[in-house]
Amino acid sequence: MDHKQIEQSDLIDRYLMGQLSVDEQEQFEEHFVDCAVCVDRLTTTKDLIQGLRHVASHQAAEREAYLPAPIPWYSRYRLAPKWWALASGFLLLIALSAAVIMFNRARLSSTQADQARSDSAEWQRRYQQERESAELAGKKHKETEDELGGRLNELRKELDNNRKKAPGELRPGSRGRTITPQANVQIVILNSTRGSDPRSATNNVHLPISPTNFLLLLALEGEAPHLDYHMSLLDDRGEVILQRGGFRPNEKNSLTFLMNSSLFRPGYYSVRVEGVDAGAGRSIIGEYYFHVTKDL
Amino acid sequence: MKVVNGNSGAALADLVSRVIAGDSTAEDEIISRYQRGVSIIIDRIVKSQTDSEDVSQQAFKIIIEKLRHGDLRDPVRLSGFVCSVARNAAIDFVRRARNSRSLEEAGEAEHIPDPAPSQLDLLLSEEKASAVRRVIGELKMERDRELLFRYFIAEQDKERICAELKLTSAQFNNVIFRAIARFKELYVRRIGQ
Repeated sequence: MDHKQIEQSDLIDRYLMGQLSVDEQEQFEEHFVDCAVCVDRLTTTKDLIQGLRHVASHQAAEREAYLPAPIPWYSRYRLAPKWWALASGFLLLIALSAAVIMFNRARLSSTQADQARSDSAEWQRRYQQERESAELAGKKHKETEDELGGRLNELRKELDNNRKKAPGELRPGSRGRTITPQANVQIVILNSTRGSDPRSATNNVHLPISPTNFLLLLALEGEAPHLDYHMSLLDDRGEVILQRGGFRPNEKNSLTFLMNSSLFRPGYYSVRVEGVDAGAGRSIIGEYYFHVTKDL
Repeated sequence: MKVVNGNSGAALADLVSRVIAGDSTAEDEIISRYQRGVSIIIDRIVKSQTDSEDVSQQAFKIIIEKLRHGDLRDPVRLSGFVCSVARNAAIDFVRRARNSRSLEEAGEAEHIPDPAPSQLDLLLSEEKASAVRRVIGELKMERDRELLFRYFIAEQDKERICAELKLTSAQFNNVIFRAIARFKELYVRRIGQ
């Protein structure tokens, strides 16, 4: 190894910077360890490199001292004001939408609750009205019954008195009871109906406003004869107003009932006729619906 | 130019035989002849001026002992032998230092070399830096300053630097040569020979 080769290959610099291969390094060391010139160059270059590194590290430290503080990680993601404004607006929009939806839902719920309360109150009011109506109707019915009962008693007394004063002729089928003949007694002939609704009545009965007796005449229409007949007078709700038994048909196979107009108010009624057999069993013969009207 | 180190085979054989014969002046001659070169080899591995001196002493102790015992059979190979011993001593020192650090971590170290630079190292380092600042300050062209830093600090390729700074290889070498020469002048002036 000679100095020309050393110069051309920059062996001194490369050796100090650790850029030689192992073989190059050993050959060069074997040379310079006994070469004053190379040792001198090596020493000077090594000192220069160390001095340069020292200066460079100081300069780097000084630059670092004057550098602004490192930006914290959370500040690196800092948004520009316009993006903040956009994001804020977007969030505000979402919040407003949510508020509107919630408000609407609350209002709807409130309306539904009010409606439910109103319905409940309405139903309660109707129930109360119905109950009052039922009570009133019951009360009226009771009054009517009492009135009829009283009237019936009066009639019986009147009949008894009449019987005592002037015994009249016995009428066939009256079981020995005497009745005072009355002139211009209204006879109402009822035809049997097949419907079960009193309002389907085709029989219309017009009665005077003052209490008056009238005859209901029911044609049995070829029914098999029964031992006895039972009659029930029912109002339009199917409640029994009057019941009588022991009737028998006349020679024209018709049943006649004497009624008083005071028993009736304008409305729908029906007469149910049942046949009574020997075993005391009853079977419905027919239903006679009629509509009562009265003079005002 | 053939380097002539004054180490002809006959001269080296004579020197080695004198050491084997117990001639202490021959031992001094060997030490003085190889001391600076051995220091460079060791210093490059150990990277500490103070430790480098210790390792150098240890290396020369081994070299002399081996020469006394006649372990070097071919005296012409004396330089290679010296380099080999110096490298091995330095490597051994570094290995022991690493082991000591491991023992330190394990809490079993008896003696731990101080890895921090000594006062002398610091002083020399400051002197070198001062001289470098002077050299850099005296450079007239920013390009030359950049060349020095890119070559010696960033350790960039010479070809790349030349290409980027538009320099020929000769211009590059001149810049380096002038910087080293000026640095040597200033540094030697500061700390003496």
